[in-house]
Amino acid sequence: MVSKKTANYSYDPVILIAVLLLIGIGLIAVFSASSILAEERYGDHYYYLKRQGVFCLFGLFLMMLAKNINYLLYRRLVYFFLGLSLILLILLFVPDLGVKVAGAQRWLRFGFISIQPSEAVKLSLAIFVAYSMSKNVERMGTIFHGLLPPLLVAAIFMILILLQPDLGTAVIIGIWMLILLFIGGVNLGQLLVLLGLLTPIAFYLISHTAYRLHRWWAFLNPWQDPQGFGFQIIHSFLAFGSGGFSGVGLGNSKQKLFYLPEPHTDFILSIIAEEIGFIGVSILLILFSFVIIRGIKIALHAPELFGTYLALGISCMLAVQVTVNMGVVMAILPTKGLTLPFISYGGSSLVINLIGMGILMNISKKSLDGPGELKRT
Amino acid sequence: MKIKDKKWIRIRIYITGICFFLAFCVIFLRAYQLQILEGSQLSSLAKRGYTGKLTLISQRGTIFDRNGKELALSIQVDSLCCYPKEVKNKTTAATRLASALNLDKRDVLKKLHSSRSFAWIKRKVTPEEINKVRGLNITGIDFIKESRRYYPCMETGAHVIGFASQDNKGLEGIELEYNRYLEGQEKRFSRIHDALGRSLIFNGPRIERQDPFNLILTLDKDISYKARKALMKAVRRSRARSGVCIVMRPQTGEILAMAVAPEFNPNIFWKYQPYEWRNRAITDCFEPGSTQKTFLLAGALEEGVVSPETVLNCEKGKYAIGSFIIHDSRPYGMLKVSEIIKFSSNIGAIKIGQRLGAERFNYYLKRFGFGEQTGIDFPGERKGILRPIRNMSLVGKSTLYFGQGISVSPLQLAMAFGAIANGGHLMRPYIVKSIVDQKGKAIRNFYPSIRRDVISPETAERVRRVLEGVVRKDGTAPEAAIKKYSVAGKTGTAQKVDPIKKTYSNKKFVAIFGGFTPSDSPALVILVALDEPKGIPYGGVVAAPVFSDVGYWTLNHLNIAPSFQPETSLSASKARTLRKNRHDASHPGKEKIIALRPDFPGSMPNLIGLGVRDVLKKAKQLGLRVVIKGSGMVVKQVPEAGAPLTKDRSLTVIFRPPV
Repeated sequence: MVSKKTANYSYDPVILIAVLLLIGIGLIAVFSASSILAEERYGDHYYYLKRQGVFCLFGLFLMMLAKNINYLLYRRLVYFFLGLSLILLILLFVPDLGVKVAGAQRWLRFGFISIQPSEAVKLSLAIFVAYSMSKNVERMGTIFHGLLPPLLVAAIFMILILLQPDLGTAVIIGIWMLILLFIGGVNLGQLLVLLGLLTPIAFYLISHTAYRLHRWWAFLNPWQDPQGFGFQIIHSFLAFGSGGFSGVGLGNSKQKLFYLPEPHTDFILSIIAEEIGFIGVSILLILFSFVIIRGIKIALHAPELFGTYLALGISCMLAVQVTVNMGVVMAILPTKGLTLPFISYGGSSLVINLIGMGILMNISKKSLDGPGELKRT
Repeated sequence: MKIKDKKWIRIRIYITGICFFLAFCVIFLRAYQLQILEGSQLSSLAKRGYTGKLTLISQRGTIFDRNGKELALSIQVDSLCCYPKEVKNKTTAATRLASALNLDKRDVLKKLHSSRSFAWIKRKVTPEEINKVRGLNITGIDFIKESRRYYPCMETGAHVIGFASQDNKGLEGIELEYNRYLEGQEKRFSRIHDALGRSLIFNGPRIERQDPFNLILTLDKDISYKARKALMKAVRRSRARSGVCIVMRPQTGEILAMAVAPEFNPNIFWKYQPYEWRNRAITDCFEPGSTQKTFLLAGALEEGVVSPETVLNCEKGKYAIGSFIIHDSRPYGMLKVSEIIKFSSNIGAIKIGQRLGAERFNYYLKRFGFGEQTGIDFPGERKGILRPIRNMSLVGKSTLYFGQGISVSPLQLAMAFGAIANGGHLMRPYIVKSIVDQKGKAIRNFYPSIRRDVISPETAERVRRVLEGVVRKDGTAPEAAIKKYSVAGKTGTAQKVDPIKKTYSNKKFVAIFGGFTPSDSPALVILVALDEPKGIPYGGVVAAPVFSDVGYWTLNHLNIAPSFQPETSLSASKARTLRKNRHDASHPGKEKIIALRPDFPGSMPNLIGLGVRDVLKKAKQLGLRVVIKGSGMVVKQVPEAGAPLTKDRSLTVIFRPPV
C-alpha cells in the first residue's frame, strides 16, 4: 500500500511555528513557576528549567526525526509499540523501577531519567487505533471488527493505568477513544450503550475513593473548604483573577509562592494567567487551536485512512488534553492530575507530544497537493 | 482506501472539530469571566492572602530619673518561635523543647501542630534556654530578637513609672501616659509572603519617624528608694492596709518621690493583682481629717478674721452643734489660734470656721485645689469630692472645718501644703521633666506652672509659723521634727466611713502627716498617709516618723543647708540615744516627749537632753541666769526653746534622770 510515488513535499509550517511558540512560552512559564520551588527543593533556581530545556531539545530532535520518517512505517510496527507500552506499564509495578509519588506509581526510573509510560501509551494507542480502524473501515459498524479491537486494547491499558492509580489519564484515554470510535464510524447506538456502561464505572471509581470524592466535592464547592480540598482550585481562581487582562508581569506571580500546588505542572496555566493575563490565555488558546485545526486539516488531506486516523488521533489527544487541563484549572471540570501539552513541566509528555507533532508533519508532507489530488495507492 | 471515499467520516470529523471549537469557546469565556469580570474581586482576595504588614517594634525609649539614672529601659532578648510546617517529628521536638524550656509538652505540641505558618513557643527566653534549644538542633525552630522592658529599680518608683506589656505597649503609669513618645515609630513594612508565611518582598517602611524618645523624670531614684523604704517600714509596723508617701518640690511642683504601699515589682507585674499596681497617691481619695485645719487657718488669716494670737474658747472639749456634740480628744479651755492648730482642737477649728464662714472656707478649699484635678501628667487621676456648701447641714458645715465630708487625694493634699510652703502658689505637679531624643536633645521641656495664687506670701508665712508649732514637743507631731532643720506640718487622723453602717468608724482611720522642711525656706513638701493602721492611729504617731525619716535623709541627700547650727554640746550619739528612747516609748501619748529642736540665733536655746554641765556652759555663753531643778538630763525648760530672749534672761531648767 505504501506508494513510493507519493510526493515528498514540504511539511506544514504552521504546526511547527505554533509548536515552537508553545514550547517557548512553556519554557518561560516553567521557569517562572518553578524557580522558587526549585530553589526550595534543590537549591537551584534553574533546576526545572534546565531539565525542561534538555527535554525540549531531545523532543525537538525526535520531532524532526519523526517528520522525516514515513508514518506508514508505524503501521507495520504497531504491535511492537503496543507491546513496548504494555511492558513499560507493567514495569511500573516492579518495586525498584516504579517511583511512587504522592501515592501513585506513574514514573519509571532509569538512573537519573524518569519516564511516564502512560504518555507513551497514548501514542501507541493512537497508532493502533488508526491501524485497526483503517483496516476494518468497512466493518466498523460491527461489534467484533469495529468496536471491540480498539476498545479491548484500550481497556487493557486503561485498567493498568487505573491501577497506578491514575484516573485522570484513564478518563482522558477513554474520552479520546470514544471520539476516535465515533469518527471511525462505529455504530452510534453501540457507542451510546458503551457510554451508558462506562458512566457507572467512572461514578463507582470516583465515589469509592475518598480523595477523588473530595476533589469532586471541591470542584462543586471550592469555597466551602478553602483550606482543604478547595485550596488548589481557589488559588487557581485567585491567580486568574490577579492576572486580569494583561497580567501582573512575567515572574511576578504570587500564587506560585507555595500557595498553588504544582504551579509548574498541572496548574501552570494559572501562573500564566496571573503573569500574562487574559491575553496570555487567549494566545495559548489560539496557538493550540492552530495546531488542532491544522491537525484535522492534515487528517482530511491525508493520502489514505491510516494517515487520516493517526493525524486525528494525535490532534484529538492534544485537543482533549488541552480542554481538560484548562477546564480543570478554571474549575469547569473536576480536578484531575493532567498536564498542559507543550507547556507543563514534564519530559515524557513533552517528548511524546513533540513526536506526535513530527508524525503530523510527516503526514502533512504527503498531502500537500490537496485532498482532491491525492494519488491513489 | 482514503477519506474521500467516505463522506460520513468527514462529517463526523467536522462534528468533532465543532465540539472542540465549542469547548475552547467555553474555556475562553470562562477565562474572560475569571480574569475580566471577576478579576478585581479575586485579585483583592488574593492580595489579602499574600500581603501582610510586618511591624518592627523599635526599642522602647528609656526612662531616666532627674539625675540620669535609668528607671526603665529596653533590652534585646530572644524569643523562640516555630514554623510548624517545617518541623519534622513534632512529638519528639515537643518533648525536647518542653523539657529544655520547662513548658508543658502538650502546649508545645499544640503549637507545633498549628495550621498557621508561625507560632511563638516562648517569648523572651534566657540565654541559658537559648543555648539549650540550639543544642537540640530542631529544624523549623527560630529565634527572633525582641525587646524586653526592664526596670532596674524594681519596686522603687514602680507606681509612678508603671510598666509596659510584652508587646512594648505602655499599660500603666508614665509608661502609659507617655506611650506615644516612648513607643517610637513602628516601622511598617508591607510584606509579601509565601504560603509558608516566609517573607519574600518588602516594600520599605511606610512611615519613617524618629527613634523613640527618652523621658527624664522629676523623680529622684534615691529619694524614691528612701521614701519607699521608710513607708514600707511604717506600713509593716502599723500593719496598715496601704500607704502613700509623696516628696515634692514646693517651688516647682516636681514630684521627687511617690512611694505607694502595697508595692509591686514591674518586671513581673503579671504576678500582682491590679490593685497593687494602683498609684494610690493619685487615684485614691480619703477624708483629710485635721490636715484640713491648715487650709482653714490659711483662709482665716488671709481674710483677717483671726490672727495666730486670737484667743478662742474651746468649750472644755464639748461643743453642741444643734443636737450634735463635737468632742476634742482632750478638753481645752481658751486657746490661741496657733494653739488650736498645734493641739488640733476640733472645737477650736469650728470657732475659727464660724468666723470665716462656710462659704469662704469652701472657696478657699477650692482655691487650694480640692475637688479638681491637679493636672498631673499621670493617667487615672481622681479629683475627690468637694460638695457645695448650700446643700450642707449645720453639722456638715461644722465638721467640714476639721476635714470631714470632703475627700481628697494625697497628691491634692501635698499640692495644697506646697502652696503654703512656697508663699501661696498652687503649682501643677509634674513627673516628666523633659522628653529627649536619642541624642539627648530635648524636644519638649516641662516647666513649673502656677495654677493660681491662693493666699498672699505674708499669710503663707504666718501659717508656716503656726505649723511649726505642731512638731514641737507639745504639739501633735513632735516625731515629725528633723534634726538641724525646721519643720512645719499638720497631722490628720481621719475616721473612715464604715461602708455598711454609713457612720464614722471608731476603728478605721487614715493617719496623715503633711508638711514641709525647712520651714523658713521650704525645699520639700512631704505627705505621708497610712490607711487603716492598727494600734494607735494618730497621724502624729504613725505618719510623722516617716516624714522625719524621709525628710532628714532627703535634705542631706540634696545638700540643703541646715536651718541652724546644731548645738555644739549635744553630741550626735546622745541625740541618737534620746531618739531611741523616744521610739522605745510604749505609749507616746503619755511619754514626756523630748523634741530635738535646734536653736534660732537670738532665741532661747534648746536645752532638752543636755546634762547640767552643758546647760551651765550654754547659759554662760548667752548670759542666762539658770534655775536648776532635779538632776540628770534636761526634760523641761522655761521659757521654751526658740522663745525670744527676755531682758531678765532668766531660765528654769528641770532635770530628770534618764530612763
